[in-house]
Amino acid sequence: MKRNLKILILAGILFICLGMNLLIENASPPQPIEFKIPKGWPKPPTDIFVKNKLTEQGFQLGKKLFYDARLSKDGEISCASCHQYFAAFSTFEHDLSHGVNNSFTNRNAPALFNLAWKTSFHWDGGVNHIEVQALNPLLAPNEMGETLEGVLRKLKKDSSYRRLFKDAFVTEGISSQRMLKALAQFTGSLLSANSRYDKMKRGEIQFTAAEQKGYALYQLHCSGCHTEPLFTDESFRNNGIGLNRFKDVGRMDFTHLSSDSLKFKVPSLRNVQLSPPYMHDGSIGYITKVLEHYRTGIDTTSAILDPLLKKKIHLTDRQRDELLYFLFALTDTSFTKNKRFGPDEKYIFKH
Amino acid sequence: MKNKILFFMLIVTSSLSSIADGQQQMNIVFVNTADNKLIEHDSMYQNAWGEIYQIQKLKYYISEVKLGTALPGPEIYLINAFGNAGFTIPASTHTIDSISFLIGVDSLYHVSGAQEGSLDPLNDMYWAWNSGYVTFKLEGIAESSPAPLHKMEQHIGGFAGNQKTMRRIVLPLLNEPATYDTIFIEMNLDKYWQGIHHISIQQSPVLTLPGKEAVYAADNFSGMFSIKRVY
Ligand code: HEC
Ligand code: HEC
Repeated sequence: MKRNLKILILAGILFICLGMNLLIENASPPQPIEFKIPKGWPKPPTDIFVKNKLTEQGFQLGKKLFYDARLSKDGEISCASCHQYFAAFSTFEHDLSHGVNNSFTNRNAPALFNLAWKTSFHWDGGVNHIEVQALNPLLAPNEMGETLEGVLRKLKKDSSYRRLFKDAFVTEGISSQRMLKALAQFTGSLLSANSRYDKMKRGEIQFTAAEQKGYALYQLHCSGCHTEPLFTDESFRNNGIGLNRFKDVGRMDFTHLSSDSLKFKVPSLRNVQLSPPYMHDGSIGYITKVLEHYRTGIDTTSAILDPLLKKKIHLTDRQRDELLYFLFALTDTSFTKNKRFGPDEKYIFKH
Repeated sequence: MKNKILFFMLIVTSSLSSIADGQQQMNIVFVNTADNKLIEHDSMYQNAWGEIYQIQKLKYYISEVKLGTALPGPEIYLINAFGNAGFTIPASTHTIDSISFLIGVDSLYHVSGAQEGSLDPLNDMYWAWNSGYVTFKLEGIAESSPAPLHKMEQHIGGFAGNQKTMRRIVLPLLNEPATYDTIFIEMNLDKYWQGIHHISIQQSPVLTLPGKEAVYAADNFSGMFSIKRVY
């Protein structure tokens, strides 16, 4: 009898242990999150979260990776060093950004938002998928300067990363694919759709008279390339910015077609107030100077200039200011102040 | 030298799995040669233009492998002349009249984001700034190369439109019941330099971009592969 009791107790303990084990195993399966498409917006051309299921754990892992400078060769540069949340994830007031070992990028770091709608990445469109984009900054000697082996070695050594990868992908293991997918869950989630313009569209507010006039001017002069509601048509165009000191020919680097010389991806105008300086090389410092460029700075006789700009844009000073008010109405401060996207701890920007 | 190749084949054969119970298997082994020699570190090779070179890296993708009329397998293999140069696939006992495969991988893989296994970018066969896999990668040193340090780099890639570098290879096998379980396929690098198009190290020492030159190089793939022997 006594023996039987012992066995019973042992069996009971075993049962509880097994049960606990199961509980722990299933403690928190990755929680799916829905990526909501703002009303009136087109569906993204391809759903980046079909094969890379968006989950809270994946997003949080991606965010940690994004803000972690240890991913770089010298431990100084994170994605967030160049993509600063308060500047809509561009490099604030830098034409070029700092990489490891006092290096510089040779292009201006674009703001990051609404990436799920992009059909290609980088100013020349050379990158075809959000997941593989991150290989560029990680490996470039003038960005994070690491090797893929090096990055993975560091992550595998860190027990908190080992846990976070398991939380996000259910099974144990850290791989390049998982790292890239997690990063894409974070960057692909950066949604900015709550500017005054969006509120006006949703009928929550009304534009001021100046904004309204600016909107009309935008529709007349700018919407052919900076198309609503993303404020880019994702095409490659020449808007009159010339060859810079890096001899950067833009799209032609990728297609090798001389007809693509000096064409660059049309950037979104959303949050443009927050992301100076402007253009692929940051060669225009202020938003007012950009408007001056369109108004008086373009050589309309240039053979490679985009046809849409061949006719000089006439703007009176007053109209220029109205257009400016409209551009400011594209600023989404709820995006840059969104705690979900910002750093968890106080983040120190070195540059 | 010929003996060395045979010896290599013998070693490989004995190390590969033979027929598993019930399920017939076929071992496919790539024998990488140049200048009638097995490709090895520190050896010197000469191409048809009298250029002498050493090989430090030689890797290429093989996919959609198909025996006779069977359906092609989904696996993608990275053949490494200095590493894993073979694989095993299921086979039927029916007469196999040919083996066919793709050098490179279907364009779908080039546009679908981060991949794993043989397509893991860790394998150093991925172009980050110009998304896409390299189909065929050869690196070494050649006296005749005008590039710094006499480097020779042939990274043949490109997957879209007229920049495609994937090529389908069909090699006939004897039309009789397959009593063998290993097919040795020779990859003869001599034909890379002297194929449909002529490529010299002096004229194109470094080729690391998709485009016309890469397509030319890929056109030579068809002549590089042949059945060496079945076993
Ligand atoms: C040293 C600065 C720097 C770092 C670090 C950096 N980036 Fe960037 N990022 C850039 C620049 C510059 C570009 C534009 C590159 C080009 O067009 O050639 C860019 C482009 C991008 C783009 C494409 C945006 C578009 O509109 O096409 C994404 C996405 C991106 N970066 C994400 C990341 C992620 C994720 C990381 C970290 C793994 C990262 N970046 C680290 C500077 C940086
Ligand atoms: C023909 C197409 C086209 C038209 C029309 C056009 N743009 Fe642009 N815009 C571009 C391209 C392309 C770039 C990027 C050029 C580069 O980086 O060299 C650009 C860049 C910009 C930038 C810099 C954004 C950044 O983040 O760097 C602003 C601001 C801008 N345009 C505003 C306007 C305004 C305002 C109008 C109307 C007056 C306008 N654009 C009309 C094609 C166009």
